[in-house]
Amino acid sequence: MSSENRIWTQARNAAVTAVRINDLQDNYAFCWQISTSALSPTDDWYGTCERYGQNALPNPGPATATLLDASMDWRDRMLWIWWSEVGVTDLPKLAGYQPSDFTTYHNVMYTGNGFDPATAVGTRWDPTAGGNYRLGAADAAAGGIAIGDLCFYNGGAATKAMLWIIASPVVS
Amino acid sequence: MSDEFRIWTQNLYQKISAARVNRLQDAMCFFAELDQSALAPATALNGLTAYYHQAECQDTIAGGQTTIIDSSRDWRNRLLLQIVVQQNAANNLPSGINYDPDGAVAVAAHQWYTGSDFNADPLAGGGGHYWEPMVGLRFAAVQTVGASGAAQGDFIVWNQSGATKWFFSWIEQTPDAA
Repeated sequence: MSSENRIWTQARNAAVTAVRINDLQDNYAFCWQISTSALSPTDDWYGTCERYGQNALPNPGPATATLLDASMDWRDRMLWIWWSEVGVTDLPKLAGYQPSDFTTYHNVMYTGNGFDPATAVGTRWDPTAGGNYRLGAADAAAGGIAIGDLCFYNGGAATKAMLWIIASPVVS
Repeated sequence: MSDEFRIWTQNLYQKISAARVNRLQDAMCFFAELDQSALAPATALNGLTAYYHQAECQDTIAGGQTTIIDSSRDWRNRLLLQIVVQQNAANNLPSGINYDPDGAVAVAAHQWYTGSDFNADPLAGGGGHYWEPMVGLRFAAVQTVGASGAAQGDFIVWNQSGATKWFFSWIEQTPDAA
């Protein structure tokens, strides 16, 4: 991991000072629910995580979605998600890649807890609004996808996508 | 700096408990690669930096004029999430007296990879990896400097639109792609 985003580098066995803890809080990003929000009246949301990725999105058939992330439970989260479809030969590190050649779609969505990766029915987002794509948090296990995984159903041709996701923590 | 975003204010000589360190991590923004991502299979990137700025870029040099946006680090080989808002006069920028959030000429958003091949030399025509949200306005990380006035690794906007442009931008950036 690069150290360039650090505010300071903590030396081994050095004391963590109050100044440094405060400096850390002053400079790092926190995510809060706005004070008048009625989204979750009994719980304050705080914290966020940002994820990015580049994923192949095959079209193996109507009964299978592609696993995007299994590192946390993606159900019941508010997401600000950015999605770009890129050609197989136009991936960022390949010679054919040109940033201006593709469109980025974005949306705010709540994943809820009803998406079925086997049927692609339930709460999901279709980035291009064309009917072929469905992104959601699995609420059932299917095809190697576990409950809580972030997954993507592709009803069109095989393709690849770049993703950038800002996620709220789960509602406690 | 304001302390309004702090979860607590740590006092001098106060013990830093494990609960507080954990609380801090619960609330912080972390940035990581999806665990099924194929972007960099050998090296997952962690960490994130967010930038914002406003700029005016002129086009008075034949072949494209470079305006340096940031030279604090090497911007080559980064994934960026960038939102650009174009205004039609200096006074309409956020620092201007006529700024109106609804008055943008154009708004564009994109996630993109800077690569390491942009040629900023005015004689070279602005080739390589770039994002061109508005015609003739290319954002890029400089590889070849030439007579551009930039340094290698600078994040620049290259203007060959034929007119001065005003804009401000929000950029989120990955750390070094090892």
